[in-house]
Amino acid sequence: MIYSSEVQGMVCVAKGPNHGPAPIPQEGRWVQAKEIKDISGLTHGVGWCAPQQGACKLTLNVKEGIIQEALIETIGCSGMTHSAAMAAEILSGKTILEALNTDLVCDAINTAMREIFLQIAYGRTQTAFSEGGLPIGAGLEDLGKGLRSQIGTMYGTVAKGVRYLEMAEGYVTRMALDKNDEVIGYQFVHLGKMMEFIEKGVEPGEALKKATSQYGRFDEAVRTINPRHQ
Amino acid sequence: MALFESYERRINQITPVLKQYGIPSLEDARKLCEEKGVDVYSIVKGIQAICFENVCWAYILGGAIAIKKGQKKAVDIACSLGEGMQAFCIPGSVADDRKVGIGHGNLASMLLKEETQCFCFLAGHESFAAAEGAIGLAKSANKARKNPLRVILNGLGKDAAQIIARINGFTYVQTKFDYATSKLAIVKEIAYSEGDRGKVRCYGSDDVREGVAINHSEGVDVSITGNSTNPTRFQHPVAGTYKKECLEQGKKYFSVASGGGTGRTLHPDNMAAGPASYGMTDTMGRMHSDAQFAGSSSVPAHVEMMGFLGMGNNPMVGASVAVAVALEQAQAR
Repeated sequence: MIYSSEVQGMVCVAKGPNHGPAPIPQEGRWVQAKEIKDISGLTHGVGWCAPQQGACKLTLNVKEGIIQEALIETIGCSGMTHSAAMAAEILSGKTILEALNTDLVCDAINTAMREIFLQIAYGRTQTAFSEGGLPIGAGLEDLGKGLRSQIGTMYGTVAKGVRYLEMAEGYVTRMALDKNDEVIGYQFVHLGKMMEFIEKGVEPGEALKKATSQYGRFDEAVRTINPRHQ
Repeated sequence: MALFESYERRINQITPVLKQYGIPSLEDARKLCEEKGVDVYSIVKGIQAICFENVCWAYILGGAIAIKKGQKKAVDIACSLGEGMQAFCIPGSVADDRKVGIGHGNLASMLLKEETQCFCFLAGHESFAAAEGAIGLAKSANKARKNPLRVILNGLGKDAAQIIARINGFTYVQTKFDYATSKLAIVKEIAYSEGDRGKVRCYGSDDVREGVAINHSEGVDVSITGNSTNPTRFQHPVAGTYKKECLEQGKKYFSVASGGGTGRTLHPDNMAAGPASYGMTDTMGRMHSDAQFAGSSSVPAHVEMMGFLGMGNNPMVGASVAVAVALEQAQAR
């Protein structure tokens, strides 16, 4: 480090306050974070690309600055699913600072990384008040049974009204309508569960039946429709 | 596979409780309940289908504790369920710190007491699931009460209120608030089904003042807030304002702060700039609540994340009441 001669010649004015940064809540402790290794926690960042045709939800579990677990969920663009595949391999093991300047091969994922960095460096994690943070694997647990992303897909027009296609509970197979043709419930297949049944040797038809449930007042339907074809 | 999620982090707290009540194992706890003719596991799953395994087992433990104590009344059984749920909390977690398990048990017990006449879900109206608790409550609470408990949903948004009522078979109550005179008028009511579900009244408010007026008109005694959508615009301001006005009137009102972000650090404090603290809605909850939960009103994973169980806080209220009542009825047989 070189000081210029102008600075060298200056009178020294003493610095008074030196409290360090405000502590941030991390994994149940209040930490004065000064270096990347002081950062720990599990949280989410959401990103998007320039034309906003796709979005990414990134979940990182960071321990002492290092990404130990990465969950990447994308929606809206086919290309980004492949970017996510690469990013999931690239991210693990990097420090969060390193990850900022690593191309995650998709605008939306890069933006999600920026957003999650801000959240986590500023102490806004989901685990701020969870003693010891969450175990590695908590990111995966976020997906629930059958390990599929929570995706909502709905569609509506003035002429034909609303269509439920995909709900948290699963792939919507029938929509229930009352006597006024208003929606009063739906039937769905939990695809994660169905595939697990099939994996275990259950016949596909039987698996489909076992993984099918309904929500709302489905039994009171005056008629039901297939939301994709009717 | 482990019996339930995060087994290793929970079992060390559960074992001493089992021992305290002379129950050899969780499987034996299940047998105890089943011998009384109560399938606790299925009751809980029936309230919120996407709930985790751990919540079912927590209720099984609570049920077994109640049986061991020889409790016959749902009001008392509910408190034991809370004990079981508390045993499942991960040590040092927000849920553990706030004694969320005990709180849930006590809330259910309060809903079964005669002096509580009206229970309100102060909702963001963001999902159908807030209603899952209401259905559980409506179905079961009244079986153990002399006077029926009135259950209402009060949330921001009239369109959403109507759709939620329609899907779940509640009664949609359309109101009109006069801002000049502070008078609330009922425009019309549409009952989307008959029976217990149809007795749940679902309101949509345009703003905080209308929300407070709805609470007054129904005489809400106990409420629980959702926190995921609109918390600073609606739920917490309504609960806080109503609390103040009840204090002025000398009326008892028990407010429970719950829902997404409670116990976490997000919401209007999520600008990710400046020193961090508990988020704004968590703080607002502290200002008006008599009890504070953590996690989410509807999302199982977010409640679990707080060191508690995998079930939305609202459906959990329904589940607590349903299990307590089922056990009371079984004991009466």
